[in-house]
Amino acid sequence: VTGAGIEIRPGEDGVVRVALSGELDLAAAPEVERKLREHERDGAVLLLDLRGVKFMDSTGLRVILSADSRARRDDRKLVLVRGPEAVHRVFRLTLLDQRLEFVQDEATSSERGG
Amino acid sequence: VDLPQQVTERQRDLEDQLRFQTAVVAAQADASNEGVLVASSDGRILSFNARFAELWGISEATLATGSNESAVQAVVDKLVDPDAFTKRMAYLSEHLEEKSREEIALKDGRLLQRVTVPLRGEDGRIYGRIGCFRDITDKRKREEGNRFLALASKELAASLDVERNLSRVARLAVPLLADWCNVDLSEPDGSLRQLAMAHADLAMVQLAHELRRRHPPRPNEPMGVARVVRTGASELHPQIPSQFADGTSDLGIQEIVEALRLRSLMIVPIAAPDHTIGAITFGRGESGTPFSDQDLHVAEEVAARAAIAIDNARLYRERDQIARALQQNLLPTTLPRIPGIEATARYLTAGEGTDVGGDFYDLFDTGDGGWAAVIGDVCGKGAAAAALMGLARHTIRTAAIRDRRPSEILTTLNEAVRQQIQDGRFCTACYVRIRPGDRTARLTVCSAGHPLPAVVRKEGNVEFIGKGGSLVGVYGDVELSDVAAELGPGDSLVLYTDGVTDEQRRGEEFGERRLVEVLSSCAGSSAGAIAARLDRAVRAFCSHDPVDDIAILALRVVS
Repeated sequence: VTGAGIEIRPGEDGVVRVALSGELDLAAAPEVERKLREHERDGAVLLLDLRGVKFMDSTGLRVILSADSRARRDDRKLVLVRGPEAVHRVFRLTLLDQRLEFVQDEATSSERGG
Repeated sequence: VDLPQQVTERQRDLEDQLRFQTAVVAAQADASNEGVLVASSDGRILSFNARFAELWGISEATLATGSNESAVQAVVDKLVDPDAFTKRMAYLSEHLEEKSREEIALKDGRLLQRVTVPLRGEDGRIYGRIGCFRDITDKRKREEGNRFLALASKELAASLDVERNLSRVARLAVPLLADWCNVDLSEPDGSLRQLAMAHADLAMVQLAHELRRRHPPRPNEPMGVARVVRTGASELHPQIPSQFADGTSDLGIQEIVEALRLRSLMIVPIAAPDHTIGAITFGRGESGTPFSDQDLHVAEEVAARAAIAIDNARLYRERDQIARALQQNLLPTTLPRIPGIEATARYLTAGEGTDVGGDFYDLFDTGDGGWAAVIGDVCGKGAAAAALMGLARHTIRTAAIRDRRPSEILTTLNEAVRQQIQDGRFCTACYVRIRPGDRTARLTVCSAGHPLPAVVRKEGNVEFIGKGGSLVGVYGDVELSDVAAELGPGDSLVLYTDGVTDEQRRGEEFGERRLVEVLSSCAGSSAGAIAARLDRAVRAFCSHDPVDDIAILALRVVS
C-alpha cells in the first residue's frame, strides 16, 4: 500500500483546491478526511481533484460523500475533477456521477466555481 | 636599577607564585575525574595523579620510579588486546607531534578513553606527552542500552506476531546487552513455553534448547524463571548463586550456565497489568562485566515494552475474533438446495492484521417459487461494519416476504440503513430474484452500487447483467433498476464483491478483464469449480492473502 497524497491550495478566488493522489483506501481515508475537514471551510467551493488517484474503495467513497453532505449543509459546494476510468467507474456504478458535480479538468471548474 | 634586596624580594614573590601555581595544578589534577599522566619525550614518567593510578590499578610507588616501562608492564596484563596497545605506544613515542584519541578495553569489562597531546613549550619544542584517561564504561553502556531499547521497541511494534517480535528482540539483545538471551511465556496451564533464544554461537543455541527441554522450570522453584513469573519480581545475579549449582532451582538454567560459560544472569518479568505473562533471561559470559543495576533497568524496560506489545496483540486478536464470530453468524452456514440449480459460496478472509471486512451474501427461498441470491459489501471494517451487515441481511430477508421486485426490496433496505445507521456508513448490495424453470432460470437483477454480477454462458461468453444503482444508506431518493435475464442449461451466474476485482499486485488491479478471462475459462464447470477457480486466480494474482475479504456466490443451471 503506497497510501494517498494530499496537496492543498487555498485560493483567493473562494475555491479550495485539493489534489488527491495514490490509493484512497481504508488506510488513507482518515487522514484525507481530517485534512478536508480542516481546510474545506476556507472557500465556498471545494475542488477535489481525483486525477492522481489510482485506486479508491468504499471507505474512500465515504470520505467524498461525507464531504459532499457537509458542503450541502454549510451551503458550500463540492466539485470533483474526474479521476481515471478505474476510479470513475465506481461513481458510475453507484450513479453518483449524476448526484455529484464532476468536471473534466481544473479550468472548467474555475469558470464555474470562480 | 633594583637594589639587591629588592631583587631577592621579587625572586621570593616569583617563587611563591610558582609554588602556588604548582599546587593549583596538582590539586586540579587530583580533584579531576580523569587520570593524568605526563611523560617526557624519552619516555620517563614526569608526573601522574592519584586518579591515574586508581584507573589502571598501578601502585603509586611503581609510578613514582618514573619508569614508563614498568608502568606499561603493570597494565599490559589487564588489557583485552595488549599487542595493539604496545604497538600504539611505540608509534606515539616515535611521533611525538601527533595527537591521539582512542578507546582501550580492559579485561575486567571497563572501557577507558585515552586522549594524548604533545607537551609543547612556548618555543615550539616538544618536551613530552600528556595523556588523559577517562572511564567511559557507564557512558558506553548507557548508549548501548538506549540503542538496544530503541531497536527493540521498533521490533515489538513491527507486527502483531508476538513470537516473531520477541525472537527479534532476543537476537538484538545478543550482543548488545548479553551473550545469551531466552524468552519464556507462561501457558494457560501454568507451564512455561520457551519462545525464543539467542546466542552468538548457533551450536550453543541448540545445546541450550536441548538442556531447557530436558529440564523445564518447575513452578515452585525458589529461584529462577519460575519464581520470576510467579512473583513478578526481577532477579539480578552478578555472580551465579549456588542455589542454581546445587540443583534446587532451575536445573535447566544451571546446565546452560555451565555449557555456555555464563557468569552473570538476570531474569525480568514480562508483566501485564494483572498477571505475569512470561520472563526474559539474559546471560553474560566471561568476556563481559557482571550485570549491573543499570543493565537490569534496561532489561526491565524492554520487558515492560514487550508486555505492552503482547497485550495489544491479544486485545486486537480478541476484538478481531468477536467481529469474525459475529460475521460468521451472519453468513449462511449451509446453502439451501434449489431444484435444478447448483450453488456454492466462498468467503476469502483477508490476511492476518486486517480487520474483519463487511462482505455478506445470502441465498434463500422467497416462498413463492422464487429464490433470492444476495451479495453486498459494507463500507469499512470491524464490529461496526459487521453490525450494518447484520442489519442488511435481515432487512433484505424480511422485505423479500412482502415485495417481489428486487428494486423495492433494496429501497426498503435503503430506508432501514438511513434510519438506523447514523455514522455515514453505507453499503452496496445486489439482489437477484431467481425463478427456476425446466433447465433454465429467469433472473431479475437489481444492483445498489454493487459490481454487476456476471453470467457465464455454457459456450464461454461472459456478460455482466444489470444496471448501476444508488448506494444503500446515502440518499433518501434512490435510483434502482430491475433488469431481466435468463440462464439456459449449463449457464452460470456469479456474484462477487469488489475485493475480487480490486485485489492488487504492485498497484495493478485484478480488474474486470482478468475476471472475464477466468470466468470464460470456466465455461461448463460446476458452480463449485467456478468459485474455486476464481478464488485461486485472485490469490495467485496477488501472490499473498487478499488484503480485503472477498465473497463469491456462484449458481449454475444443471444441464
